[in-house]
Amino acid sequence: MLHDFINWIREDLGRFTEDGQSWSHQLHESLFMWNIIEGTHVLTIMFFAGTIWMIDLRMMGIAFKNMPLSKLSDRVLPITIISLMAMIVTGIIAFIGRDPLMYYHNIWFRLKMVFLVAAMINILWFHYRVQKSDIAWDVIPPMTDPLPVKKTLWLAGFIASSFALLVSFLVSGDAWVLSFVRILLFIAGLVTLFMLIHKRTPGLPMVVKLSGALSMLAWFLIIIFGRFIAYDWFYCEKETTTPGSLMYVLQECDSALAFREGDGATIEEEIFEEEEAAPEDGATEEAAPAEGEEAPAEGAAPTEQPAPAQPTPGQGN
Amino acid sequence: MTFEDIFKGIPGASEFVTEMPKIWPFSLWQDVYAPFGALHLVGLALMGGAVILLNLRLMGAGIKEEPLPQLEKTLRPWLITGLAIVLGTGIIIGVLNSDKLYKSVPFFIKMVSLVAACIYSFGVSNVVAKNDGKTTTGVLVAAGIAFILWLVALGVLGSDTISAPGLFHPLSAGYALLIIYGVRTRWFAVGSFALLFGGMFVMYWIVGFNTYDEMYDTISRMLTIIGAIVFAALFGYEVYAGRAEPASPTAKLIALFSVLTWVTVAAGGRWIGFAS
Repeated sequence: MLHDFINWIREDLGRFTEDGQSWSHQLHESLFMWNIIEGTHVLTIMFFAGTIWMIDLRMMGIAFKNMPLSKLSDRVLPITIISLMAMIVTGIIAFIGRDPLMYYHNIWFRLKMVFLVAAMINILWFHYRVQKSDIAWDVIPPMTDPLPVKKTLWLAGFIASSFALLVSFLVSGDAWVLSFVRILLFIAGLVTLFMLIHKRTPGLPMVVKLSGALSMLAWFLIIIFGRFIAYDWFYCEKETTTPGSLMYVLQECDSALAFREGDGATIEEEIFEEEEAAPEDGATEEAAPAEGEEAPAEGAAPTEQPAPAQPTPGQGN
Repeated sequence: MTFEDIFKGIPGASEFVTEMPKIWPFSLWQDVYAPFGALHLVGLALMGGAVILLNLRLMGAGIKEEPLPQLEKTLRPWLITGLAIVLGTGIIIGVLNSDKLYKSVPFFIKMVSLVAACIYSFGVSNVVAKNDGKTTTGVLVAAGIAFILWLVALGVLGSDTISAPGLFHPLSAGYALLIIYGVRTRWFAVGSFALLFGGMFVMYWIVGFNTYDEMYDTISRMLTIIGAIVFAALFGYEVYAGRAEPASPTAKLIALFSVLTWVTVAAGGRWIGFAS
């Protein structure tokens, strides 16, 4: 049902005559409009995530230590809200203007939406608690550290996991195993960092710090997943996304491929065809070359290495 | 204007740039290119938060409860962390795409405005904030150099057919600043922006977003120029009318240009993708 609705957006929304085109197709074919909208969407991150992270850092007791949280949020949240509104409006238009079905069947877009909902719930909960004037949220964290030994242990854990994560990028091997190890190291780094912060700010309620940390992590992942949407690693149309595989199921590729067979090529597929007709940058079938993003230079990848995955045209976060 | 245009007289420069992705350890990162691109945006966001809050305070808005020198001290680690992430990941992305970026106009814009933005953040805004809003001759000279570099970047951006629409980004950021900070002109700014750029959007909505008619491009360019003039007038009035406020007019202008220069850096980065 949702699939049909999104297809209606793609094919019919804004199409007023039989021969006319939907807004989705019009925006996709526009000379600059989609670029301006999508560029604005990315740039609002500077204003939005940057400002909300400052509040999150205060909640964790590592910035603005001399300011009550409610006062800081009074000053900063108006900027955050204006940016959020701009980000949502431009995000919706960018979604409509770039094959909405591609987004719908994209694992990164789905993950982005999951964390967006989680971040919104966190914001609402935070707002509710602060507006209730819960005195605990305004606690000024003490500057002293009564647990130096434990702090040192967590610090060592954080440094070790971060270093191991960096080293993992210098190691070659099975992509799935490496990705799994990197995710584990990333989680280990996050946990040790949070515990380090927690030990350094004993006077601050755990729930406040946790809310700040969750918000920061959620927006971090939203940015990361948003950027990954541009990469075609797991597109349903790709041979590597085999029926029954995890990505195939999570992206509902059955309905995407069935629809494609009945309806012809998707917008994204048309783009792939254009790219294949004019290959450059040494990209392979595995990694579509980018019209809309930087691509590693020709001959850059040694023959034994896989070519880097490239974002699809004009796409980004 | 590209770096290729500047360095084409230097023997071997082009070959060196082409060979850059083979340099160790960059050659190892070909297959993990994507996370660095994503982290680049994270660094930009972290830095953006620090830049906007400090410069808004320089304008006399935002976190007014914290003294300027204290706020600068609070935000400095996050500005430096953000910049370190942006530069670290940016170098990796840049080396892996060296040949393309060498010939890219938006990349040139990004680099020139990046130099200007770093001068603003580390040689102007932070010094003015540490001095509680007071400017010195050295700061004004640095601000002047950064401003000229930014104008060069804007000039190149405006004269490049493909990237010129990217001018919308610093301009819209300017309007956003007026809406946040402009106590006297906020609603004029909202109205002007809605009328000019909302009007442009509606125009394309009516005639079709995929219209390639030259007339609509000309109208868009005219609306952008009018938008820039209206913004300059509104911001100028805001500074003039608030000249008796604790935040000096010079500090307000420095803060404005600092934010807009960072937005130009980000816009240049995004249009590298669109223009290639």
